[in-house]
Amino acid sequence: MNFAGEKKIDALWVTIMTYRDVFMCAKKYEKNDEYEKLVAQVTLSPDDITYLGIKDKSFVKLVNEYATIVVQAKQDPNCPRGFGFMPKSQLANKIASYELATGKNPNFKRINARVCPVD
Amino acid sequence: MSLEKLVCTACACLCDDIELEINDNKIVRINNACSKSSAFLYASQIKKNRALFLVGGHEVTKDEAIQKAGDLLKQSNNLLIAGLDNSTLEAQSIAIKMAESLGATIDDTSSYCKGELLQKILSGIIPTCSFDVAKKADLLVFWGANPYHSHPRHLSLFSYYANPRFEEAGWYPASKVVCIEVRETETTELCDHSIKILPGKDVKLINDIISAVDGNQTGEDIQQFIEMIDKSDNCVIYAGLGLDYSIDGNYDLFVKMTEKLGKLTNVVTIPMIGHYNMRGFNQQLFDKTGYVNKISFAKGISHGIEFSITEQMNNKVPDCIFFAGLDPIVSLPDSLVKKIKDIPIITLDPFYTKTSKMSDVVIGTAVSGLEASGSALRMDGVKIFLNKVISSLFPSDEEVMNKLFERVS
Repeated sequence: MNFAGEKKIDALWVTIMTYRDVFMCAKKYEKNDEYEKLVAQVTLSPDDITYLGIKDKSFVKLVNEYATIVVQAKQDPNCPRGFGFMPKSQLANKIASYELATGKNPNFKRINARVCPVD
Repeated sequence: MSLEKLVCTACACLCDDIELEINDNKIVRINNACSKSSAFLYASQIKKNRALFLVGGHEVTKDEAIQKAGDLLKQSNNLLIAGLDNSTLEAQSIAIKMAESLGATIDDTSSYCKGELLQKILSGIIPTCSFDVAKKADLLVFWGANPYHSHPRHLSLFSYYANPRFEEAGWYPASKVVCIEVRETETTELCDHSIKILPGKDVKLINDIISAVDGNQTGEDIQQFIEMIDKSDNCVIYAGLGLDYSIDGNYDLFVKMTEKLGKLTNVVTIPMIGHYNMRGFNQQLFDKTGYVNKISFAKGISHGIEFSITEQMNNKVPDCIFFAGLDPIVSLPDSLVKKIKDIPIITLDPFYTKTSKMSDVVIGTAVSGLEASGSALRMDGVKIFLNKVISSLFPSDEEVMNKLFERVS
């Protein structure tokens, strides 16, 4: 483990797609703090979870040039390897980007981030 | 206690069968609403959720807030009016006039969410229809859209279960459903045929569909899809955000595909719009300028990507931004939001949002359809009238726009 609390494994890069969840939308109106906790998750493929050497629902860091965020990693057999799904939220906005050179739309569907396990 | 009918403005379905039990001007019970709608309506009843009238973070009177906002608008040389998708048609119309009068730039969320699709639909390039017609279609295609989450009552009020030939007593679906998705969802569970693609591969799929219609051999999934299209009498493609972002808002190839499929059967497209009156803004701006968004009135009418909310923010062009019903802190990347920290901001919103917190002037408004009347265009382009159901101390967005326009004229 290094000083940042990251386990020493090869870097796992994933492409994260954000999505809207009605239950999280509802929580956003009802109680914002609870909403922030609910959206702090990323769905990964079982193979990627195994590769990271973590268990389902462990915490991971998502790191890219824009920010580092900590979220819960949830295993989903429907998730293709190398991809992650995350609810659209202010937290996801931290690692999302906007560059006209790469696309007209803000990058909410192809966010590249490194996944690192957190103890 | 009274029972009132309400048009919900939580999304662009504009469901008009919501029933409210009102006691002492408060909602005590909501019937027929989805979880999104009921959360939205109940949240409006909680005082701490509502925006006040603020200048520099301090509470002021309504007139003081409007006066300060008017001053900022008048002083601005590069004004950006952004949002308006959660405003009534009446308020949008005044905002467009105000933008023209001030030589401002005006744009809405469609510039990064289905705007190009709307442009092609309003220009008559992509055929569309109303929900009344779409309900009767025998083939529904949900492409990058999961209505269970984005528009929870879409299936029951306007599409699958709303088909006049649907029989509740048994299970005889009158229409077939195809889903084009990157993963399993509630909608893919319901569908007759699912095409699962890797994220970002929609362009390849569109090319494959075109190739298959031309008689070339493609994947089994696509062949089955073409057969279903061929056998159907009327097909509706519900285009979602997944499609829009995957093709980065470039619908030229999609148009080619719908033209090809149109030779097999009658194919129409309806955009799955999120904000309740985005279509209204797009229609009104299109009627005035020929474009649905990204307009500058600085030198006549100019249109281009440089006038989009995102490019304006990214290049720090505006010297004042007027956000009407838009919360960019929650909806746009942080890296973009950081760029406007030093720009004076006016926010118009019924709710106290994260953007309100960083605004120089905040003007709280009534919730349209609940506390204020007006009209809006549903996602299929049908005009819906919004009734005022309960009274409010907050002005309608139309009233605020009118007062601001008077001040700057």
